[in-house]
Amino acid sequence: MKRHHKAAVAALACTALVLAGCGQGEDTSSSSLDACLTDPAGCNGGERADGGEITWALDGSWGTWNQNTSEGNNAYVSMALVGLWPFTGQFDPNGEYIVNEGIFARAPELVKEDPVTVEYTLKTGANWGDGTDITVDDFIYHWYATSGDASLCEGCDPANITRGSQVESITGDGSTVTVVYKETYHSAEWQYEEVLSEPAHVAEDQGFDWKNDPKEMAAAEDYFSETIPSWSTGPFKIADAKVGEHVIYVPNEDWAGETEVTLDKITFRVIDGLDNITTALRNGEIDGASPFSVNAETITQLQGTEGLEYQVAGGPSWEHIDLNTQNEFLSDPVLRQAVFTAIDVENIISRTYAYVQSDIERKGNHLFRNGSEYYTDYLSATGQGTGDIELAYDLLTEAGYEVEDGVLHTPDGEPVELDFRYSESKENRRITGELVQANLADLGINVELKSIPDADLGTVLGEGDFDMIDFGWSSDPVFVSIASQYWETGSGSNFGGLSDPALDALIAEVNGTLDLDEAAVRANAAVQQVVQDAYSLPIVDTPVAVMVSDRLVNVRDNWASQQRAAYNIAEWGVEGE
Amino acid sequence: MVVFIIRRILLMIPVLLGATILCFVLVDVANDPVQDKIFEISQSTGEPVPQSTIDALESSLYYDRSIPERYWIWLTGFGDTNGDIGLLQGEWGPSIEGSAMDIGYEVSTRFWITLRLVLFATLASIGIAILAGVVSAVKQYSRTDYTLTFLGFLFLAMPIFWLGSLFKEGAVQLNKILGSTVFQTYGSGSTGFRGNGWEVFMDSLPFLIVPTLVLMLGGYAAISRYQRASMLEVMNSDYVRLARAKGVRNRTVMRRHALRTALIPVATFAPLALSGAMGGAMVTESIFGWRGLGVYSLDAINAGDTFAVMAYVLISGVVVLVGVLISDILYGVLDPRIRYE
Repeated sequence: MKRHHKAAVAALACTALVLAGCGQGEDTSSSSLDACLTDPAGCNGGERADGGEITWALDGSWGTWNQNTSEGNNAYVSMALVGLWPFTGQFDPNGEYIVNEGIFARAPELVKEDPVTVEYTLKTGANWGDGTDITVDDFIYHWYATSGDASLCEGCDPANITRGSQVESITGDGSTVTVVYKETYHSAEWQYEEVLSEPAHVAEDQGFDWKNDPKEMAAAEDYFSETIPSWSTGPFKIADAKVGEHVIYVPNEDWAGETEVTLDKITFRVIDGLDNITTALRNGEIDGASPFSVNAETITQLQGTEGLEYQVAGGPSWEHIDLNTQNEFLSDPVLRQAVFTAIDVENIISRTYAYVQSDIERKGNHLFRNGSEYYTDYLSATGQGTGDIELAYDLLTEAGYEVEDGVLHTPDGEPVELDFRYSESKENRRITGELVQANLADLGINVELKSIPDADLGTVLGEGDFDMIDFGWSSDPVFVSIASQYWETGSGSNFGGLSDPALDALIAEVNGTLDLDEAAVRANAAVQQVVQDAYSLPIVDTPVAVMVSDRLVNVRDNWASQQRAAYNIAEWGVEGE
Repeated sequence: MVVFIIRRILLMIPVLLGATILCFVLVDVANDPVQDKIFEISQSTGEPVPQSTIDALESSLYYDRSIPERYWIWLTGFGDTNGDIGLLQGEWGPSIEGSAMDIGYEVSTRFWITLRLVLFATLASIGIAILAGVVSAVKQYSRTDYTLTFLGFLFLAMPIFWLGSLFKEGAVQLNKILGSTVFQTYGSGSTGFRGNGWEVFMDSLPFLIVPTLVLMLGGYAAISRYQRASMLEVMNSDYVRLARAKGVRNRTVMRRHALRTALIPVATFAPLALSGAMGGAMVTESIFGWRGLGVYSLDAINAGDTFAVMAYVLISGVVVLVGVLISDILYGVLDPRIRYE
């Protein structure tokens, strides 16, 4: 090889390597997503061009098309089907509920309180995208599928039967559908209930006698699980899809909504891993994503890339530390209170989540998000999460605990030892564990950190195989049934085994009123009680990021929707000239 | 030879059975996907999961049976099943990912995706390795030999995930300079693209270049060292010296006498390398988003999706065993000193 050929080869090889190391460009200092801090539901708005295509990344996959079922209860299929699914409505980023304009003429109406009777008025022309109108049968189909009643659907495995099991009857009269609930139903969130899912006429066309045969009903559900939806009640319909990989949408010409759809095509494609998403975004392979995690490295990469905008804010889940009340030591509420008092939550936040969200706030209420009209901070006044070792120590000494040779002993003389469990892939939870370990060491409590393989979190929680644990719950604007799930005695999700009759009574009251404001007052009373029980210590609403190409308009994140940024997909567009 | 092949094929059956039993027990004991699913549902819906749903979930995934029973019905499909399980009946079993996720379809389509990636990379790495190995041996202790040796060790020492990330970032920067997305960094083809084999191949080219380069460089180094050693051994053998002493031209000695013999180890190693790469492309597939067998197995293991893991174990097991068999046969074909009885 001649000398200049060698030089050329070397130069080429070096160029690739050097280029790889100089990926940072100029910082983009301002972003139209910055306005989301003050105008969460209107930021990044603008004129849309007629036409255009968007490719949006999903950071996880799905294995079924039917969201009624347990296997279909997956945030990613919910995102992937956002263009066609018959939602009753969506919460916007302000937490305001917006009724589905493509299906309903107006918001559901409570026509009778006892039994609860709700009237739905269908919009003229509301249809399944195949020329068939939405009818009362579709409401009945959804009821049967989510009833949990084998006489209606034998062998079905609905993810949620809270509403379906409470329906007494559904009748229709023209465009009006009336749902009558059982006497036991008293949810203040009746207007948010999902009432539609799969098209009944498609089930019939496939030969399923779902109305009269519960087994046929289950078979119809299986059919919808395995079949790519050919129908649509939304602004888009599927042109091509592969389960767990992608969904390609084109506009649904039959959509009855009034928002003008401008895009020609939207592609949702699965890209695993935050690094892969940011690289694909920088490389122009995708136009945006709203992944369920974010880290400081991602922020650095996004900061250095022209043509991209991003925003980090509290997302649709919240972090908390729970204590196992069945543990021999933690069964004592005084020790639990002391443990929570010794933990310095602000310090945890500053060393973890604040690296990606500088304006992040400590969460002060288990059920209501900071800033919600129902939010009250019940934690700060108790000293829990303040890292006040002296206060914690006073609590313990009053209860007969003693520190000998730097080790805390129970009134019975036993040294207190606890473990702290966290998902192994969650760096912030590991750091949280280390900080808790340090905080409690000051109290004389030896804490052992034990990681959990990601796939085993459910098992560890279900078996109560922890003393302290850091994990997340989804945060949703709806709250009525949440307290019961988290804290009611015997609840399958009350992983730490709390049993407090006073709390159970308060929880029962939350579900006993149809007035949302009153229900919120009662829910807050339950929060107060659980704070007294020192069972669960909220940390933050987990930060998430939305990252978009600057050519997109009306694309913004939405913590209040499971579909995140895609909640307003009909409004998405490419910036007009 | 035929008897040898039949005997080896029959021996594969107990080997595969042993591997599947071991993997089945390991995956099954280490995971409880039903419990995890229940947690996911309760976390997502904010409601307790009804017992009827838990029962239906256990029943549909056969988690209402003991481990031996589950293995037996996975293998045979005999007994009370939902008709979706039993290898002997052509059913791979249900996936915990969902009923629309057909394990048989997934592994068959993903097999070709992985093969597309691995085949080009392996062939290219073997070709370059032979070239580099021969040149190094012929010019032993020259500057070229040292340079090739250095490059070989350099790529051998680089972890594949790091090399992959480096090249990926390099591709992004090159795209920026070129002002066009020439190199794609994620996926094996355009989303939703359909066409005949040639069209699919052409569509996949922008996605194929960078990961192929990474796999190729990661794989070539070891083979090139192998080839160099083999070539040196042959060049120092008596029959090569004799050929030279007889006045045969150096080029002829190298091509017809030395190289032909020196290629035997690499040629027999090639099927093993290819089959090994089929199972080992996991990292490259993960970095470049190729939804091949490697990523499928990784996801299945992480999710505790026993039947999906079993499908992977079975397919990769067959591929490796067939690779070993071909390798053994090639020994006999290429080296006249070896005879099969």
